[in-house]
Amino acid sequence: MPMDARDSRICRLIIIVVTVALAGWFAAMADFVLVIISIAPGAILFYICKRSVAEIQEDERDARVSEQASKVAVAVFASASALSGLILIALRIEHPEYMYAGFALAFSACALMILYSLLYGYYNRRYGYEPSDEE
Amino acid sequence: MKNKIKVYRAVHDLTQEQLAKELGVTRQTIIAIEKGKYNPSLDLAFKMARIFGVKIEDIFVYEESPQKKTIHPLKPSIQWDSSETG
Repeated sequence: MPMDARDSRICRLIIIVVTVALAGWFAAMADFVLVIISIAPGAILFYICKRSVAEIQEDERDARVSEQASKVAVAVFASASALSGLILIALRIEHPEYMYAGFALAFSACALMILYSLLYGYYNRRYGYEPSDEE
Repeated sequence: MKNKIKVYRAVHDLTQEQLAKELGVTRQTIIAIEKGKYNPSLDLAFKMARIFGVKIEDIFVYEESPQKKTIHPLKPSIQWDSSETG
């Protein structure tokens, strides 16, 4: 069923809200199978909803905007989680209960930076990087 | 970078929506380009020039920022005779 961009946005928003609510509910019930089952139909419906729009939804400007937003988000998240993680680890004598949270934050920052570096290398080569291209 | 998209749209009696459809972009992109807030890719600039039937430099005018170093054209190191090419 074709729909316009506005309807599709509303539809996707409803799907996200319902899926997250269901997944959250099942997570609170400590049932990981139901969490996975609840996410799968949500993802499929989201995809169908996005595909059913005939008009152009994304172009080069959107790609540029999302590049910039991703870059800033990575920088902010990596530095904030690394810093807060290190602070929580340093507080382990006074507050040992925060230590694991600190390690999780610090390692997630490391994982994000490793993933970023790998993807940067991949896209750098894809967009023409050659180590010695000078003639 | 300044541009004359609004003028060319008026000449060709095109709305932003119609131009966006022709170029395969969103209307927001046309608005952003017209306002000078977004510089289009070469691909999009060529498409736009082709639609209006003009050269890219007729639509887009490059302006050097006063803070930046002025760019002077380089002199070619090899001179060729134009009569030999034809």
